Amino acid sequence: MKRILWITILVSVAFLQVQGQCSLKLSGVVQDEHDQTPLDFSTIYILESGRGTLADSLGAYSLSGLCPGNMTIVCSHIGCEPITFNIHLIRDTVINFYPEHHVEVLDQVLTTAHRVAEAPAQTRTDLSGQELERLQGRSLAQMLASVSGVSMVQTGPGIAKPMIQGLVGNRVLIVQNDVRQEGQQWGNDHAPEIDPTMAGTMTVIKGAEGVRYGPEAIGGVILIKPDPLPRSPGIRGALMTHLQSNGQGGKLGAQLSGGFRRPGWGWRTTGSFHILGDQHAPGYPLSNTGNREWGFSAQSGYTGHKGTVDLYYSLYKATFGILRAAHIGNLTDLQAAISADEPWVQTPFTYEVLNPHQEVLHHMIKLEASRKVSSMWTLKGRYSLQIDDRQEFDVRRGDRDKIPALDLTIISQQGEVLAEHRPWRHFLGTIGSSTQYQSNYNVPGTGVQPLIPNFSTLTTSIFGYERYARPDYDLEAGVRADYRYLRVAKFDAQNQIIHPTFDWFNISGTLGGVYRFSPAWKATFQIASAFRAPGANELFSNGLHHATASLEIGDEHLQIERSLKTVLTLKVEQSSFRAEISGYVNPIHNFIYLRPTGDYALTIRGAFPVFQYLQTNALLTGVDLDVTLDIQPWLTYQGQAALLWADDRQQEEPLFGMPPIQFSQHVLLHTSADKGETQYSLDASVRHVLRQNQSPSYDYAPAPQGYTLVGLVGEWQKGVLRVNLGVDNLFNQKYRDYLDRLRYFTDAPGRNVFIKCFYHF
Amino acid sequence: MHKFLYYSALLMGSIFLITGCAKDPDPVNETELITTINMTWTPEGSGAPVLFQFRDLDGAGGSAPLITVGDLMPNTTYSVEVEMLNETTNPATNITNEIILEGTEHQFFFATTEGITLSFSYDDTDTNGAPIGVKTTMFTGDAATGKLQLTLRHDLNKGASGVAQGDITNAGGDTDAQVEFDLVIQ
Repeated sequence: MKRILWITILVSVAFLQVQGQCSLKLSGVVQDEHDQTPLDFSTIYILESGRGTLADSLGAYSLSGLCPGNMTIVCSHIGCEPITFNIHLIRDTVINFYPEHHVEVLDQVLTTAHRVAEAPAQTRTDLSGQELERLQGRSLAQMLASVSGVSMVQTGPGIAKPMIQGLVGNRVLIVQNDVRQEGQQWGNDHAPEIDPTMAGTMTVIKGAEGVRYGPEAIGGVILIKPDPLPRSPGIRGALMTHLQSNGQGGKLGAQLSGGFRRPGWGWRTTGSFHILGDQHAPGYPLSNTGNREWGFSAQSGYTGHKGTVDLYYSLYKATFGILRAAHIGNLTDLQAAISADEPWVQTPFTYEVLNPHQEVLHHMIKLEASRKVSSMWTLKGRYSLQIDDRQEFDVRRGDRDKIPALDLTIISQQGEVLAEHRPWRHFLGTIGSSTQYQSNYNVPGTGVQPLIPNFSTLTTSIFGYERYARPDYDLEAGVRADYRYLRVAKFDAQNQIIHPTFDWFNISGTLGGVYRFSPAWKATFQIASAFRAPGANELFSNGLHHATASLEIGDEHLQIERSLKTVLTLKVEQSSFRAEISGYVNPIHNFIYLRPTGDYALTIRGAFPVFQYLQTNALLTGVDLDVTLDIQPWLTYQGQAALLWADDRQQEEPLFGMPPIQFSQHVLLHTSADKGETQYSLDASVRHVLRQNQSPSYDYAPAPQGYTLVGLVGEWQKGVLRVNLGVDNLFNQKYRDYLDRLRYFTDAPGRNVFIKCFYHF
Repeated sequence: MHKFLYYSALLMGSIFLITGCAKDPDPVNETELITTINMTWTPEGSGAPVLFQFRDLDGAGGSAPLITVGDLMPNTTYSVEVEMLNETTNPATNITNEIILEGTEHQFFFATTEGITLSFSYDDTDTNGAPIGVKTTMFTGDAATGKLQLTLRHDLNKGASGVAQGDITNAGGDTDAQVEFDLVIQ
């Protein structure tokens, strides 16, 4: 340990000595990975400074006289998709490019690496490098919400789920390091069980990528991946601290990675701790909204020419407080809370989390290996195990506050085998099969009738997709067959154990393409089908849902939900102007949703409205827009807009809980990218959210007013150290968000001043 | 190649060895379920006690609750006792004791619709000297018909203005029970 520490210090000192001189050199080769033939006359250039060079006939290139700092390097070769990645340059560096397959960075701090686009027909947005780092300290959903078309469904300030173009929960697939995240996704108050500190890249895919990633991706897919492991010796790492005024807490995160003496072997470990006390809205405290989150991950693997091995473990543990005043007994309480200006429980600030609260523990283990079995084929195998424990504690009578009212353990295992072939007459593609087994168990002893029953599911799938790649266009097609079997164990009305079983079979397909009009302009098109089998909550709910003061009734006869999402995107990337406009149409057949029946059920707590899970034909249509304009070398404008229309076509009314129209704009003042080692920037942002005028009549309260939030972030960077100082909700605006369930009870949090530091070594 | 396939197959096969199928659930005794509210009205002096009962043995949803009431006499003083039971257990669990034990966190409130005169005063106190409402004295007015609503609040602010006098307006807290009885004074 001591030795590692010494090495770290020595290396850091060595780094610091070379900073500040614009005399760094970048060199390497560009070659074909398979036969090592040099890819001559490839271009390598630095996006920020516009400096570039051409590789010689041996594929070698070199760029000298570079200043330390962050830069985006683009390598392009005729017939290959350009490779783009960000690097934090601190000393002479060797970078070898393998255009068709990957980039190899020798001995350097690599903040991001984009491979050759795996699926160019996808409409996707990547968050990585500094852009991602700046978002650290916030919840996963908040980080993702910086992408246009992504919003979040909240239960107060701590608990948030990402929503892609109006769909959330079971309808959005989250993939952590190539493994489908499996927990209790059905709950709108169940935040994804992932520590964002492990992420090197977060990708939002807006298409219904069911063929590639499996069932349930009706709304889209979120990929969260660590950076590639280092392949050469040396230890590097990063430290992140975040402190914020609202909640008087913050987050500490660290990442350490290195290579082993045997070439090709590398490791990484990340850890984080997040603590917040009660947050506050303008004028009053939000009592019991503190939280704690712990994250840990460890990864080790080998990357070589013949194959790869990757072992990954991640742990996530969290405690989330839920606003005390949001605990209600009946509809009268809810109506009283809605008509009150402020929550009825307001207690002095504390870090202590009382009831109601949630405790979550999530383990994931993944083992993955791939091997080149011929010059054509690579085989890949993957196994993962996830154990997810969720306990929810309610305000209870007697000494039962320490007994969870909900105690679920869900164990999921997945196995996947893929065969990928490299280009053959411009065709490249993958075939594969995957199997998932999952069992959900209600831990006895809660003293409360369980919300969802014990069940086990088995899903097996086979799939394949092929891509026809040409320099100016790509075409892509894929098909997938899934079979799912569900077995439930529950009590019937006569208190006898019954075992209802269900099975579903579905075929889905995808068709897409990209056309590159010019190096700057391209259009992508994708039409993809995806399906989702009804979840256990939708089939079997039968009882009082305290949080929403309603009686929810499931339906065992629900059918598979099917969507056919079409996305058309036009993208331009010029040196001073970048823009993307993306339109989509997502018709969903048999869309499952909760709707009031109009009846009231009389109980000992009073009368409750009865809601039933129904199916309808829904239509979601929308447009997302992103514009970045470099007005001056020191001035950049960024604008985003997201518009969505979501209709229940059978009832001829809007769907409940859809994101309102929103716009966000940033004005960035910054020092030019290649002007020395010290850099400053100032980011002023304005976010407009309009009132949701398309909401169904059956909501408990009308949709809240629209609002405008102003934010300000200043940044200072010198070499390996970066400091951000910022304010969210600068004017301490009082507002309620339509997608926050606690809008019935309280205003959203007020002004928040934060400071973040990043240190790379 | 063959070795790889062999190991992949072994791996896939082994997945299902370490898992069983859906475990049967354990029966759940709902520890906080209240199935029954009894309100016993004993007239001062002579006369038989009157029982008001709200009974919902299958909990929320399912079959509708059974509500029983009796007629009250006008201009009469009644001593009233509330009893709460969970009758799904055998023998029935008396929830009233739990409420008295946690008296500082609980209080009953009574309200009538307009046109009915019914005043009440609390006859019991918690450890802080504030009323609970398991025992009350009620005074009926002239003959009339209407509704009586009984509410049990949990975790309320018992010190708020008017709460000790039986006014629910400022009480806060969440509702553990709320039932309505048809009230006939004749």
